Amino acid sequence: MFSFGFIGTIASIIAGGAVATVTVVGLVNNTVESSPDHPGSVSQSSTIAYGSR
Amino acid sequence: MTRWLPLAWAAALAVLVLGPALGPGYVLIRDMVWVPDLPLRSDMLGLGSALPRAVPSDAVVAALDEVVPGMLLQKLVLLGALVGAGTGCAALVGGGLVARLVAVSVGVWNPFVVERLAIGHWPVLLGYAAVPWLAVAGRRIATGGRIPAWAPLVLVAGSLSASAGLVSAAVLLVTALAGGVRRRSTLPLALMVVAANAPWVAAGLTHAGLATSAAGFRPFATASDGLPAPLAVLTFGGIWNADVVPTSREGALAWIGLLAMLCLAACGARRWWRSEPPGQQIALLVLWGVGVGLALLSWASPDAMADASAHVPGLALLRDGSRSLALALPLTVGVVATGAARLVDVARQSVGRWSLAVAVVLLPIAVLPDVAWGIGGALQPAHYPDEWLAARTTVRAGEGDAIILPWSAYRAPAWNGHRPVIDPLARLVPADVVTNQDLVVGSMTVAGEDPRARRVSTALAAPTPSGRADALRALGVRWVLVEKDAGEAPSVHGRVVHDGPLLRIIRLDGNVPLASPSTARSIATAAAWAAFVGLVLVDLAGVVRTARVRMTTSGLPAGSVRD
Repeated sequence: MFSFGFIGTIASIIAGGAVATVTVVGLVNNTVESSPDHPGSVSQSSTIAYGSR
Repeated sequence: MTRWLPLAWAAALAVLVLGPALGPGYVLIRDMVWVPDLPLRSDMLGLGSALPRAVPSDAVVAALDEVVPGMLLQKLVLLGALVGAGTGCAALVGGGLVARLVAVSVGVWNPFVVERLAIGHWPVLLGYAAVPWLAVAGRRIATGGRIPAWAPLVLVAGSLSASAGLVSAAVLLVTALAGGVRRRSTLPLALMVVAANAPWVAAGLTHAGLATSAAGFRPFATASDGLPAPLAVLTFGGIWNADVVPTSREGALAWIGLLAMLCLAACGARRWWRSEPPGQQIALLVLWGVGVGLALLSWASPDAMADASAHVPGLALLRDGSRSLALALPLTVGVVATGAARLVDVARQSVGRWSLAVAVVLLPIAVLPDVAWGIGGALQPAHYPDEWLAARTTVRAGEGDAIILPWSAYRAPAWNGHRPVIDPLARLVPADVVTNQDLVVGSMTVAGEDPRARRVSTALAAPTPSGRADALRALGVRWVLVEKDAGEAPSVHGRVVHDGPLLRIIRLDGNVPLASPSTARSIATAAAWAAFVGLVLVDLAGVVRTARVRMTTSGLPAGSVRD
């Protein structure tokens, strides 16, 4: 049977690998497809909003 | 490695967050405006008619950009704020490498940093970066009774706006006084805090009447993002402006981040409590409670705070509710980093420890990935049009004030990628500029407090161009700058001294009364600035002297250094 330590090590490797993969994929996606989520008003209105709630 | 790796990690994260912002050009986004050479004007010292929100930050930049070009200075400030925050958190938690690296990740890569960057609050970010260093300084004062030589400069850097100054002062005083009141350190400490905050305090007191009329607690109250506000503030989120909240904060990743943070905090709380010097735990707990409490109060009862601010002038400083969350940084980073280190220690084999270390260090980045590369491209630098730069010589100082039309505060110029920004032209020209400070938040308009701006609004409502010119002249306005690409503007009769594709500059010839502040106000402002500059100069001299002594003693034979 697998010992507690062995299962813990496997779980640690899975956790580390998962977080590292999610981080790298997330960073690459957002770096390659970088465009602001909220570029602001593009109208020629003289009133530009400071923000929204 | 324990010392240099956190610095390298903080630098790497800072570069990853800022990305394109570090390239050539000026990052102009919402409240963040940098120009090639900011002229030092009386309104930047606190002598204008408007509430002095950019005192002392603008004046400090105006002085520094005489030495370092504005473009480079902006990048140094942004990079310095993020690296400073990360390394400060690492220095605060101490311990092993994992704890320090987690502290760097939590300190640099969190919603507070990202959202304040996206809204352009760089003095708030400098204040945030100063927080862990001031907590370190306070701890040393509490335990050793001596003020570190670098502490006054960090305090000054962290006090470049009113709200940042309050946070910085609170962190230093609460942590230092946790060791008790000492004659040798307490008085210098109090003087240091007063001097570092003197410019904005003096400017605020001389505008106290305006401060009580500052409206807008509800629009700027702490808000929910993907998490309900009471939970969002635990992870440094909750800014009022939905436009600057990263998309990842609106989904499952925000919940995962919250749960992970709570688990690590629970795991590390006990060990952290035991590892802190006596009194420091309480001090950091008090700071956390005040920071989170104020943010929650702003969310729970903004109207009550607004009512109270009508009677208490300083209370208006708290209307942007989530700014106070910087106070929660030392305790949060301490318990989370300690919990992460404890979790890694649980693993029996080195491969397991390494894997867990990778997981806890990268976790803050994994749950907020869209921060990367200039917050998903939001921090793109831009170059000022040549016509704008030429306006600096056309509009002269000392002849009267300027106004900018269209009469509104924010712009979204095409040359800046249509990103919203507070009008940069107001900082580019050497004349004092009266600006419309009404803020549009969604469908709501928060009225500005400057009575002079209100009179300009009335003057612009005159029925004829000549009538507007006469009314403006009577208010001390000499220059009317019209941004042609910013929408419709009322016509003002005057001598056109420049008319290009983007700008028209009109000079209102004739008699223009020049406003000058009262003697009492000038003296108060001068005294405040003298204290501020004096603190910087005295501390710089002390730092140089200390460095010289160290260099001298390091050249002596081993064992010859005396205490």
